[in-house]
Amino acid sequence: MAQAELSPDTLRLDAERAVEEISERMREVVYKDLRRRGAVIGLSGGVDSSLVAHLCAHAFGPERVLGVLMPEGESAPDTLDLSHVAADAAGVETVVEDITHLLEAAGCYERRDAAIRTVMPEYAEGWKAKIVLPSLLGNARYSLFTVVAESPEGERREARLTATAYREVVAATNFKQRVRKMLEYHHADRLDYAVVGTPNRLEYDQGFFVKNGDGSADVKPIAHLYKTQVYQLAEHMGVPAVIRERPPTTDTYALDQSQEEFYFSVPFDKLDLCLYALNEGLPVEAAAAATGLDAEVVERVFEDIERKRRAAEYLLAPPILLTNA
Amino acid sequence: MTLTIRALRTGGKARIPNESTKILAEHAKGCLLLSDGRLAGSGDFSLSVMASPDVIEQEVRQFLRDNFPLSADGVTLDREDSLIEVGVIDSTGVLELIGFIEERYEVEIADEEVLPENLDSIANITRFVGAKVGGGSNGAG
Repeated sequence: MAQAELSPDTLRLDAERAVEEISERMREVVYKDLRRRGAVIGLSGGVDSSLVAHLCAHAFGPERVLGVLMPEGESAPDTLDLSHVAADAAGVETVVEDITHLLEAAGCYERRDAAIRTVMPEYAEGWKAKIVLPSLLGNARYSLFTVVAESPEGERREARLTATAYREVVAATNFKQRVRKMLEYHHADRLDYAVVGTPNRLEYDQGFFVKNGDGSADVKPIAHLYKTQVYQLAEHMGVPAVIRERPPTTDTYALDQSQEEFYFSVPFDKLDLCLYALNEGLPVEAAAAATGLDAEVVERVFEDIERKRRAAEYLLAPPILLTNA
Repeated sequence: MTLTIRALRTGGKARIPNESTKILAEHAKGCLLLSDGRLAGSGDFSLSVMASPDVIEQEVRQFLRDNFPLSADGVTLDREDSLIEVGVIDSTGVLELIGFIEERYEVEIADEEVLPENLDSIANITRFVGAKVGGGSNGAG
């Protein structure tokens, strides 16, 4: 029966073999194809970049890896500490680049706040905000991007974004990922290293990255791994538990924002199985049985995956040459 | 929708921008719109008008053509086609559609009304907007 074909175990890897295969390919790509002598990684304190740091240290040797830590004024308080924890565990050298002043100079915060005020006039200096996309679970409504803000006194407000305000907020906050990538390439140029990207399969497939920001890299060694596989390899390679047990976050907005709130709408372990089922042509019922979600919800998740794939086409497209024009 | 019309002389015909619009109420300021469309008095006055289903559909189609490249790219939309499934609009597009309806028809759409049965096809939008501006049932939700 189809239902028996899918379970969380379906995604379990032979961890040792997977690590060796990834390491071998990375050496080929970086040394032979790109002709670079090491790797630069932007470290966020999350499980993806921490795993990539470990994989790079394993593939190239820790002395050929640089972790770049790029906090800004709104980063979560533990981001920097966790990034150091990851780097120490992998044994790689680090450099800290506080990007707050670069973001201020680009007008990142100012432009974003002005956009938020168009739907929430009371939003003022000292307030914190995040963008939320309500969950798909048990909900037949469209998901609508909403700004959630908190005053310095702790009072919470919510307002539905207009399309214009949403785009302005995203365009402004995208400075964060783009400034970070600029600095990663600065260090890569300086050291003759390649920039190694950290998107996992969910992020890459579903376009959860900023074009020419965190979506940019010379090689993306875990873009074929489901998020649950990332966790499995992270544990196998010794990424510290404090990082593996931290809920995935965007660390883009001043208020704590989980990836589920902003983008994925269902927990990643269930989304992994839905994505796998869709990729393998398994029926809705198989994904429902494996995830414990209602078949109706799985159908909505499938539709959402397809929609995001369409949106991701632009993000994934390389510059297109008009050679036949 | 509210239209502001300037009447230059008593007895002139009011020129309603779209002939299919139906006048629901009139608020004369210095003049009065008579039932046959002639004006009594002169000056500026405003009218509340209701767009007919045909006009709503035409305007929604125009909005989609103007704002979403796919619908301008040779894709012909049937009245019942799902805008999301066909790929014409996405989650940001839904916000744009809401913004268009709220501004064009001077209505407010509550979050609870943002349902596929109200917004996911030209037929659904036309019915939903018609109900909103007509002051009757506000569609599903």
